[in-house]
Amino acid sequence: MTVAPAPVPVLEVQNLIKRFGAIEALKGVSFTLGRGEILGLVGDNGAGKSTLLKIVSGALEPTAGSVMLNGEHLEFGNPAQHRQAGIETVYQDLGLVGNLDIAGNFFLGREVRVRDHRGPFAFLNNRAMRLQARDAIARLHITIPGSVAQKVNSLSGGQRQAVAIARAAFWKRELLLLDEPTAALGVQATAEVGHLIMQIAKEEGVPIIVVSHDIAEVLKVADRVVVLRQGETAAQLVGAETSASEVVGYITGTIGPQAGPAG
Amino acid sequence: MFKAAKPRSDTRSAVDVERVSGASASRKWLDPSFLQSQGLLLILAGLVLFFSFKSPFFFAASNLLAVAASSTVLAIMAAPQTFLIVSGGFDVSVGATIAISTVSLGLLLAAGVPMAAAIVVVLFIGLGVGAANATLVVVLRVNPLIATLGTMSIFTGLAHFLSSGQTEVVRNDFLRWITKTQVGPVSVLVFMFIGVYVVSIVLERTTVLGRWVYAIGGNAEAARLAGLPIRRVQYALYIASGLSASVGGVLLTGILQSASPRVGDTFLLSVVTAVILGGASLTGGRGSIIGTLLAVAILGVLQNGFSLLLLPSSVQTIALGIALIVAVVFDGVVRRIERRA
Repeated sequence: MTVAPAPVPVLEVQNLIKRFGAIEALKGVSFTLGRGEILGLVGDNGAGKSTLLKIVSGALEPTAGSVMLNGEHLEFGNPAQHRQAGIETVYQDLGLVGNLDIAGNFFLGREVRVRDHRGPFAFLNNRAMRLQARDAIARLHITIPGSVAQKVNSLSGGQRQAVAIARAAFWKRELLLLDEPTAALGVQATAEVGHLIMQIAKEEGVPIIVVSHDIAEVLKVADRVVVLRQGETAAQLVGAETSASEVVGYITGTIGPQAGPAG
Repeated sequence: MFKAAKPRSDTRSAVDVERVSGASASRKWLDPSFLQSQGLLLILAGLVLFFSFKSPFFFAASNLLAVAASSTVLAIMAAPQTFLIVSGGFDVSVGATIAISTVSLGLLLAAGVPMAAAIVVVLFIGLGVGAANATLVVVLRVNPLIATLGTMSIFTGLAHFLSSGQTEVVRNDFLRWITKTQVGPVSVLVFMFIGVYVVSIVLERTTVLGRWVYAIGGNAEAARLAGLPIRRVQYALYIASGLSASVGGVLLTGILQSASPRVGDTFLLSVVTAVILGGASLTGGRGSIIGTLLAVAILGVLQNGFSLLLLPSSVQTIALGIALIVAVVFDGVVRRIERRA
């Protein structure tokens, strides 16, 4: 048996600092993420979760620090570049266009064109897009009644979330980022999204970062939990070894370095 | 020629995730855009029937072809306006662009400028108005209604100033040729009409640009996150609208054989009315070229029928206003239904 060298982490976030004017939203956050890992990113409002996610997705530029994907530095400020590098993001408001059909949303901005013509006047290859979207949805065992040619407007909140996640899962190669994926969902749909997240990470080996307010849901899926508090890493916990009350303790500051004297 | 395509026929594709359930098949009948195009077809059929009974001259091939020919200028401007409104934009300056175009053409020709050069200058005027509108809306983030009301006022005033409010007679063989030529019983204008709508329908339904227009109007933020070149598309649409209006100005100069700063006045409302009546939503994301085509046909039939019944043009203006209000009210109702769904 040979000893394999320690694998390069898929994602390595090093000492990220982000200031908005006088406000320091991130004060040096670092963590790594390996293949197939699910990382829960939790914290109170304003703790820096969304800022951190936006930096990794390429939508924001950090004041200092770096993000490495498979050992290579990523440029910032252009989400398209991060997408090209294989990072897909599901935004809190889903980023779906309601008046387009499911397949149209799947391929928005990356349309399959007849004979691969370039330019805005190229003809759409709707057949190919519908077939691929249908297959991608079927592969994730998502059931959406009706065709992929139905408009997203006609779907329920849970179905829309499933479409948004399936789209990101279809395009992602290296990393999937989910911003509050269950915020607008009912109990049943929340459980299904959790199942979907596990499936993508474990079957396809693609790591996922889940930003969420819902501690119980995060603990159900996350291998590790990073707790942010006031722009700093309050704790890095192993999902299986922690509890909701411990996580909440770190979020609120009753546990950890900033905790006041016990009393 | 005003035959309605089946709306949303593409949903009948064979690539369903599961069998299309009975529920979603019957939902088609409640779909607002489907209802709207069926409604427009009914209204058009009703008007045709009504005028056929009221006037012996109405339902004749020659008269219906004349309706199409006289609707051409409106139709040519309504097509780009449809794309613009679907994308979430708006352009009320088209009437003013017609005025400045026709007045400029009249003055240039009177000054002895060659025909080709004069037309090129006029097309550049339309392009310039469109680019100015786009800059106001896209770069300076002015509300589209306010921005184009402003340019409307500027260019209407400029047209009156340049022409001293006078109508100039324009006698020009080329202009007569491109507007008065007949191929058998069919005016060359009808061919332009058909050409513009064939191209527009292909653009809307089959091209990447068509899809982007709907996406930008439906959810601009999602379109931005998906990496669409939103600003470039918006610029192109405002410029297309301005260009179509200057083409309309050139055609009207030939049709009327004169250049008047007041000739654009009737188009101020009729272009937007046609597009909204055709099912486009003022908030963007919804509308269709086929709907606009039906609405243009309705407005053309109304105008022709009223003329045949010897009703004064003021009645037509009243009808236009009623049509616009009905269309906007219907749009509001549809939006409330959609929000509830």
